[in-house]
Amino acid sequence: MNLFNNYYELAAVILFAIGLLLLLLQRNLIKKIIGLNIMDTSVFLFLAAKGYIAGAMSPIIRDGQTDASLYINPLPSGLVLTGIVVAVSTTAFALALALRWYQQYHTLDIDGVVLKNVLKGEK
Amino acid sequence: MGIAIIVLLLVGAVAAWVCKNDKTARMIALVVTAIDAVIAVVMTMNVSSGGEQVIRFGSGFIAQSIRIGKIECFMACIFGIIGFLIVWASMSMISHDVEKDLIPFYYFLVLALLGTLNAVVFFESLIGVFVSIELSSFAAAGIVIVKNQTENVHAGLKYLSLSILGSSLVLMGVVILYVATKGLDITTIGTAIKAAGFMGEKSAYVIWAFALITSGVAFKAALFPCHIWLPDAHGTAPSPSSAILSSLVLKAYIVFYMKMVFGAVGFDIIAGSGMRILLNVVMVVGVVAMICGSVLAIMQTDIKRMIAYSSVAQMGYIFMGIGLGTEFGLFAALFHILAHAVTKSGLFLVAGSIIEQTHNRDLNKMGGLGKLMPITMALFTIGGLSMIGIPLFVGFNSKWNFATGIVGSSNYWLLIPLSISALLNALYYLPVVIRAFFGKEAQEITEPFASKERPVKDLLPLILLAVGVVIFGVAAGPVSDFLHSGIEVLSNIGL
Repeated sequence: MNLFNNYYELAAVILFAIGLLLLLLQRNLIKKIIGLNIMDTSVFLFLAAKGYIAGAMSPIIRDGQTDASLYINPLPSGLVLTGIVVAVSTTAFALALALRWYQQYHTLDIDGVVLKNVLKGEK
Repeated sequence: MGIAIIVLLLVGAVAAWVCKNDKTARMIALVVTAIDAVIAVVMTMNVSSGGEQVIRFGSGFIAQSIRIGKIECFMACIFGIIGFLIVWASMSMISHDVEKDLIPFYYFLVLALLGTLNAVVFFESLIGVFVSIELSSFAAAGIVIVKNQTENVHAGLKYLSLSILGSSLVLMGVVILYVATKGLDITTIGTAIKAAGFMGEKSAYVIWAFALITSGVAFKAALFPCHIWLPDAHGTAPSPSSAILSSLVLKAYIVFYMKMVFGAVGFDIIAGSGMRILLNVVMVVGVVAMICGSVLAIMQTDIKRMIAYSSVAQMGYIFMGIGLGTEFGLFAALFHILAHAVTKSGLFLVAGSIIEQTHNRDLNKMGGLGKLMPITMALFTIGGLSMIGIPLFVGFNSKWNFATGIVGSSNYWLLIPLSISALLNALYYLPVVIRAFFGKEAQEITEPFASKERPVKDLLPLILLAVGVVIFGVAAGPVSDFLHSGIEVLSNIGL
């Protein structure tokens, strides 16, 4: 069946869904950020799988062979690298914010009862 | 020159941060945005006489291209001129919201945000667009959080996580498009799609890709069910930030979406393929956003949250225009981008002035404000009337365009929500105006008359924005002609 031949794509979609659910449903900030990372990783998996050609070499010219069909497509790999850089900076930014949050309220719960009480108390 | 704008803004941003002195940082921001506005106007003049050009640079993986067409120049003018006016207005307002030590950093974020927004619009290669989208989300979350209150950190976290979700969805869509068309820039994708008459058997890939891109852009641009971050972020941010976020930031992603849908796919293919279904969904969601955004705005008591929910409704108009899928619908959406940018930045800055002078955000306690701050409330009235769509103001032209577009595409039922939404707009803008000028408290204010008006020199950028609202309301002809010819160029991408 087609679905099982494309297991990379299947895995990517499942991972994306897991990440999305973590991001939207978890209250704990760290778990939210982990969800964000899983989501990003699933996109990278998808990309890398799309650039891979079975049996081809990594795209570095060897033995003077310049025939493009011998190598995998380097463009998606490059895109993955760009994406990883962006994902790292995103995670760093989000973690810095989470740290600020924790220092102020000693909780990582973002929508919970604790926070509502805190905000009410402030006003 | 497109590259010049981006480089100028980013260099200015670093300069503002490095100088470590809040006065110097303000001057740098003002000068850089002024130069940006001048370059954008000059570029627009060149393009309107010469036509578009595509600049390529780099090679191999880092090969990028920038398209300088009419739509891009139109957006660069909006970013340049309105950005300049907002930064000018922020000179006197920002110390109210942001600590003195953080002001250089604030202007770093603002200039970096304007630079990356220009990059989102100008880049034609999708890798460049993706990186710019991510960078602009960081800067945009930054100018919310910089106020350093609890609610800002809360709003910033929400904004950050949802906008990263949005850009992940866009990236996923771009990857699928790459798989289907083997292209990573709009021209190549457009050629592939148009040459094959919508890709034949691969058309399902393209539709799924566009579905993902649409949902990503819906998060980034706050289309109704995905708008939950917007009222928090725009409502709690410092007022100049709110103005930038609502009038400029949302628009860049929408223009990217327009370039993808109408540039890479084109009107002819949309009319006869699965893309039509997708755009119908966008249209219906846009209509729901128009109504629900306004209803939610009526329920608010905080002036900035009310204006923020009004943005949700206005985004609905723009997406409805896109969803019509015709040239006139796209034109109406583009014109509404201008109308909303001019009006909403003015309204947010006026709200900021009111909060700064009276330390009051509650709409119910604003009776009699028209006597204390006559000029400010007059500016609010102009903005409100434009949002409702009264003739002589830019909002009327915009609604007229939408109505014409709806009739042209024979979706006559859309006229009903359009007029209901205009009525709902009136229901939340007019009470504020009436209460301010004729409210009960207005009689109680006696001599000595304690004016709370800000000095006119601080109000000048706000007045200029209001003048813009009237000018584009009375004489929109040149802009319309420019946009129509721009849309023609856009739909021919890749042919």
